[in-house]
Amino acid sequence: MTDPAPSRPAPALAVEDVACRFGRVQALDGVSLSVRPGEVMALLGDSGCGKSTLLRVVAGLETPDAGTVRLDGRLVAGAGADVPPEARGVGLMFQDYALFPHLTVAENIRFGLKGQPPAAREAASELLAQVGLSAHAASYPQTLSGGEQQRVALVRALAPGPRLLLLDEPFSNLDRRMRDRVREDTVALLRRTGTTALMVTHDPEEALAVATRIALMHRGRIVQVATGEALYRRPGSLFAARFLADAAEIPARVAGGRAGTPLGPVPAPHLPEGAAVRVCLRPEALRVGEPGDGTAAQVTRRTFLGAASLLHLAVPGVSVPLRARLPGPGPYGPGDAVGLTLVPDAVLVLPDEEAA
Amino acid sequence: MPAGPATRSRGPWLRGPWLPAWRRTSRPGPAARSRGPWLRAWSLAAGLTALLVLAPVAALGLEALQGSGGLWPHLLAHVLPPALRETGLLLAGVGLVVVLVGTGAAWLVAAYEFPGRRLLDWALLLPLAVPTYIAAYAYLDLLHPVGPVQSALRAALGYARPRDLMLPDLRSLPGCILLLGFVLYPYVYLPTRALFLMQSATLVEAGRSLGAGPSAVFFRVALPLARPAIALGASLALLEALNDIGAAEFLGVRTLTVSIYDTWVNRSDLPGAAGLALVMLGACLGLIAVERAARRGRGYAAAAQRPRRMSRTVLAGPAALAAPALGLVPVALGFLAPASYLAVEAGRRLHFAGLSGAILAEGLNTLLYAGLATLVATALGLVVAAGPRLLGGRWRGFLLRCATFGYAVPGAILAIGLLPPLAALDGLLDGASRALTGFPLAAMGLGTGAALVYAYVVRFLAVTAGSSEAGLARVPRSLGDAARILGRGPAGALAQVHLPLTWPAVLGGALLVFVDCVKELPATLILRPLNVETLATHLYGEAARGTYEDGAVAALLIVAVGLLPVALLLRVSTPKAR
Repeated sequence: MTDPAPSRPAPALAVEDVACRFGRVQALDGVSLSVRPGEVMALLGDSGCGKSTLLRVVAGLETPDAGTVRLDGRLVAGAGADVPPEARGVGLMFQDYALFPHLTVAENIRFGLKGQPPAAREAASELLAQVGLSAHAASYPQTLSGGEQQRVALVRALAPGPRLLLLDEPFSNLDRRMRDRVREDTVALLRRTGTTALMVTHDPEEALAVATRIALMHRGRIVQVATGEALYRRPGSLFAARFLADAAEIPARVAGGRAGTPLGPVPAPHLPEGAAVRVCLRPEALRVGEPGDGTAAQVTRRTFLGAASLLHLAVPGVSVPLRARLPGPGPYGPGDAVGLTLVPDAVLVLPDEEAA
Repeated sequence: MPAGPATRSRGPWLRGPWLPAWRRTSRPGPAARSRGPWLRAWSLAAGLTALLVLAPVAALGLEALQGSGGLWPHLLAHVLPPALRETGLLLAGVGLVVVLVGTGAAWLVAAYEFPGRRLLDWALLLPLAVPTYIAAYAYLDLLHPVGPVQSALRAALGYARPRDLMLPDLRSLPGCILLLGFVLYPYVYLPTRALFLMQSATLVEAGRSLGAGPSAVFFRVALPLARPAIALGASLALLEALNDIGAAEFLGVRTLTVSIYDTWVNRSDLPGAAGLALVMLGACLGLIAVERAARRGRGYAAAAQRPRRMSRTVLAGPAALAAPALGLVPVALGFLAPASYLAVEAGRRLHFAGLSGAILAEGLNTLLYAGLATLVATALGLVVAAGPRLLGGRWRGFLLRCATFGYAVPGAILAIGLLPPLAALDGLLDGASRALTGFPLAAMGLGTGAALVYAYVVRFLAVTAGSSEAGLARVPRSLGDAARILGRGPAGALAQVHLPLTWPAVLGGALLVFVDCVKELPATLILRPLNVETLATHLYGEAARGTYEDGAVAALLIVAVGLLPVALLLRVSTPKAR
């Protein structure tokens, strides 16, 4: 275990080689993760990938079988330490909000302020006012709408001034329309209070919208940690590419630093000669033009999405349908012949993990 | 490293506009706050509780082993065969009656709408308030050849002398079966009714839409679905029947329980009684195993959505009169007849002699022992149920099974099993006291009633632990986690989150235990201090002697106390449905 260099601030959270097993399920399998102060990091993964377990280990609600957890450089779990959750100084916002049904909104928020000076209470009511819920201070949580409950839960978690806020699928209980607004409000509040946050989500779009960095998890391991843009545009593996967005995959082999496809060769600079790869074509990797302009293709279906429309395209020699996006309704319909060209920057060439 | 948390407290988060300068900063280090002590304390308490429950059973085995060489041959040749035969027949008969009456009554109130259904709904639970020995006491007098029923019959039919009209004697195995069956059927009625109300709605409607008539729906859909509830209720009723000592003895049926009591009290043969008790314990465990098997693979499969109430078939014409009349039969036999008899007799006695001092003292004794046992059982039940939930221990299943185990051990067995360890403990205490202070310290356990409270606690711990567990299970885990995250320790979370949300369940369990203690007879008979009477033992004494002085008053008091949880049970067992 190396101590952080004295010149740099310790990470707000440092997880090293944490393993956690429940019976026969290896929930966490050697996870290491570091969250910088002030950062909002998303833990992204399928259900059952261990992301919620990792959150609970950090909070102190689960004890890891191996590895260490440090908060601001202080050892809280592993290597002989086992600090209980109440002494860790972290906040946790639960997926179901976990508001105490026998306490009012104000009492819920004051619950975490025991032993803190009176100023804390004023700050908490100030916070409640900021999210527009002062009028509901005396209400019971069950009487509030889902969005209001979400805000109460957020304020309750923030009120004690945690050094690290953990959020477990904080927006999953909201309907889609409300989710976007609440998400923005939440991010704004996190920024304003300068809170370091670690957020669990299964929704890549949500992770991209909220997080400064994303840690992608798969089967109890962290697959890749990167900014949202880097993860989306330069996924380190086929799994990461598939998780972030749907793509049409064309199997190919590397020859002469390039992978050949029916739509033309694609550069594959860092891959060994002869390697099995998959060329992933997301909608933004295809440019649709008039017939004769690039590879010939035929429109099989058009889905109108409002601001854009999605074309399903058949290309001779490609077994899967390709998809391309056009602004607005677009000029093409089913049966039309079009020409396709690749957008080199947006094409992904990744080692084929399954063709080993 | 490790950096003092206080020096690290000023982080970038201090920039916020609401800038709390008091931000949560330092906390005592890990050494000062770790989960170790809590876990150790809980493990100790839980381990002691398990020991408490298992000690009498272990002692029973040891005691039975110490009997003379002729013990088992004697038991096998002369005592066991008749006792086992009587017990087996009794259980089979009672099982049949409780299942028929309980399931039928449950279907009647769950599937049909008729005048008086709401009343019948809860009235069918009333026999729960009448302990078996009180029902036997009341019926023996009611049906006595010179009692009110036979006198009235003779008057109506014009017979002059009792021997002109010979009715079958209640003091027989069939009489005992009917009596126990009509008092114990609510154990089946209660869970089965809840199940019919809770889950059959859409399934019954599906059955109807697939062309099954009302009776086909009952036999092909509702009944198989209700099998786990019926099995559970029947096993509880049969455990009660096994536990019964008064009714069987008054009615002259020599069951195992009666044999055990007789072997110990009249022949002072503790090893013999212990041997019989072991056999009976085997029977109880067998009963539970059968119940488990009947339930296997058929949990109360609750639908994902909130269940909808089954719509009742509205009865009209003669059926609308027959249904309430039919439903009233078990209520009348199991409650109205014995209770009104007791009320009349008690009224006569009170009018004639007033409330005797003895009854008052016995009432206070009952209150004292039952109250103490309730307090202890509730506290231990909370420990058993709450500890693992808050601390993440791995013992929960084992402990709950230990606690539940006591409920399967009839009072007589428990009492016989407790005698040797308590006598040994009393001897130890006495010896220590003599050595240290020179004073003898006689019978601290057996003489003070501590033994009785102990037996009550072991026997009914399952009820408090179970209700605490059920209450706690309804508190989402995230609420407890939230309390911890927001700065509470395990005890703080329990006091401020779990208890405020579960106290109705905990209190409900405590009430049930209190009433069970008031009604308990066999353990009370064996373990009460010398010359101390409770209401139950008083009644037993008078019934055994054939005197009927204050007995009715004592019985009426017990039934009155027994009525308390009936209302509560009804509320708990009525599923909330939209």
